[in-house]
Amino acid sequence: MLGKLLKYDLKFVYKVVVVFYILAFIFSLLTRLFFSIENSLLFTVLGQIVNGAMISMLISSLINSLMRSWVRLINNVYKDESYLTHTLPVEKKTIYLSKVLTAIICSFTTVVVALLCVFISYYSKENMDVLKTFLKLTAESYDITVIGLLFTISIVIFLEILFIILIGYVGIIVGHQSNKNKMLKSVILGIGLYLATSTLTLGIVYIIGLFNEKVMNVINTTEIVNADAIKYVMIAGIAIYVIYNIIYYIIGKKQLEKGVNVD
Amino acid sequence: MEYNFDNERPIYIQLVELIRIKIVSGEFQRGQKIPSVRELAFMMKVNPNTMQKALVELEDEKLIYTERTNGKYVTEDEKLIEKVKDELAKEKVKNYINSMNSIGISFDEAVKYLQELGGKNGIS
Amino acid sequence: MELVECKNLCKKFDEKQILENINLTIPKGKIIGLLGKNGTGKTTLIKLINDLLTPTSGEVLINGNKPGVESKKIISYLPERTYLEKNMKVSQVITFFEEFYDNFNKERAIKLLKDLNLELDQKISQMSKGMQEKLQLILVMSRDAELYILDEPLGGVDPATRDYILDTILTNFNDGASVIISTHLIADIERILDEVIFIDNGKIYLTSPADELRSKENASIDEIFRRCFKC
Repeated sequence: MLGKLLKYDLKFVYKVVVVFYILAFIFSLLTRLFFSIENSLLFTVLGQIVNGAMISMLISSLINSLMRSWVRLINNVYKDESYLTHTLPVEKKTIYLSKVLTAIICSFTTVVVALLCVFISYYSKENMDVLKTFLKLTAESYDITVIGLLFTISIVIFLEILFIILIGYVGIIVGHQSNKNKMLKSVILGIGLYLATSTLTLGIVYIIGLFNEKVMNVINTTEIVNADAIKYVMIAGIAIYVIYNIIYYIIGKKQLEKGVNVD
Repeated sequence: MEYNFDNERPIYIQLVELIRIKIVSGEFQRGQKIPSVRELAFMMKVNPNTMQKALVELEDEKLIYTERTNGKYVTEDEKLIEKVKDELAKEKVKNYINSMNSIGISFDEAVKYLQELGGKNGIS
Repeated sequence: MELVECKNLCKKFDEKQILENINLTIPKGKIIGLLGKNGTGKTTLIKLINDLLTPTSGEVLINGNKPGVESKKIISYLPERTYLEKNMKVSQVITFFEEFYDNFNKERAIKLLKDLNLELDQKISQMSKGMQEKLQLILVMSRDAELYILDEPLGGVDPATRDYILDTILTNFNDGASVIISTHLIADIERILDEVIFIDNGKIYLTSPADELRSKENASIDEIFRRCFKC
């Protein structure tokens, strides 16, 4: 049953998001093309324009990934469609798991597409060298290449997106347990949880900083950030976000399993 | 065929009456197998349970009988059918005379009406 | 075991009591009219049976179990809402039902769709509300369920369709299955009812076999209902 649910959930989310992926992809190719034509003011200007368009498409795909995941949960579990969803011979936790998997898959593809587009647009030996000189130290000291670091950062971004979606889910589920102003309560709860959890993250990073000078430097200094510290913070970030995501997944599941009260 | 039911009386009683008429009129012939409960219910657009109850009633009256697994049949007993027909006829005539009386027509006049119109229109 | 059993069932929304101490059993193989004016708790009761609401206190049991996967396999529910995803086509909806319900009879659904002149490649969003309601009825009656729950199936349809809907219900419900029909349009359906439940103000006012009630009161269910709940 999970597979069947997932199929319909993914269809709903990707129907719009894929359009932005394709547009971002096209604009990234154009960016590459226009920037590669040298000594032409026209193409430099065009390059800037399509580059901007690509970035805005990437942002749109991100926003739509978030919004459509949330809208899907609201429509499917609490609005008119819920009359069908909750009368399917499927457990509530399966319905929720399908939504969470949708969020995971969608966050993942959004990050991958963004990486691909950025790579297509900007990859060049010079740019890589600039990056390398900036990150060289880290890469060597941790015995990981520059790509490896980019990869780590991407994972953190992926986990952060997933985290935002899951917080939204919990906000929606708990908000819809009350009988009035369900949407308003969902939004306030979601934002509240996000702020609270983010503050907690800063607190955790600060505590790590107390034991690790390099990390403390990220917080304290306004100088160029030590790449080593970035690395460290990223790894801590992965651990923290994985834990958060698991916790919010469990909270959402438990709350939904209590049952629903649809209008 | 449309069956109109009077919602003020139990539906099953009306079904009994309807099927009784089918039997005495020969629509359901003596010894003939009658449609299943479900088919009858659908024909008359009623609940199968109600139809079942009506058939039980008719079975009590011996107008139909069940042959183990084969279904239900109209009775072979011609005398019984005649008797029921006779009762129904008497009841209808009584109703006729009563309703003629109620509009101020005497028995003799009512008979006259019958002869005049009945001969022309045939039985309908 | 009773098909459905409500034990001291209560439902409150905030401080508003919608259902109060409902004790009720729904037997197998009966067509039952759940009759009450609008806003008396009919839909709330139905939603509780279908796991769309959680009881404030008391419980609903279906074949002895709380609403869940098992009960959803055997209950075919027609809500008042139009619950289909708007951008799906009729054919996709049929596939959806086939995927999720083992007891969905596709051939029957396609035959009924033909009877009502509904096109398989039509999008839900292009259908009128009336057509969507007919489609939903077809989907619900195409399942070989043990219990059909129809919430106001006759609301807002023309008399010809009304007859067709009653026929569809009568001819398609499974042998031995029960049907609960909730409505305030009693005259239209009373001839097909085995039993009636009058509900008012969140309480069960009376339950009785329909014909018994008619003989006792010498009146139609519709009239008895009007007498009970004079405005």
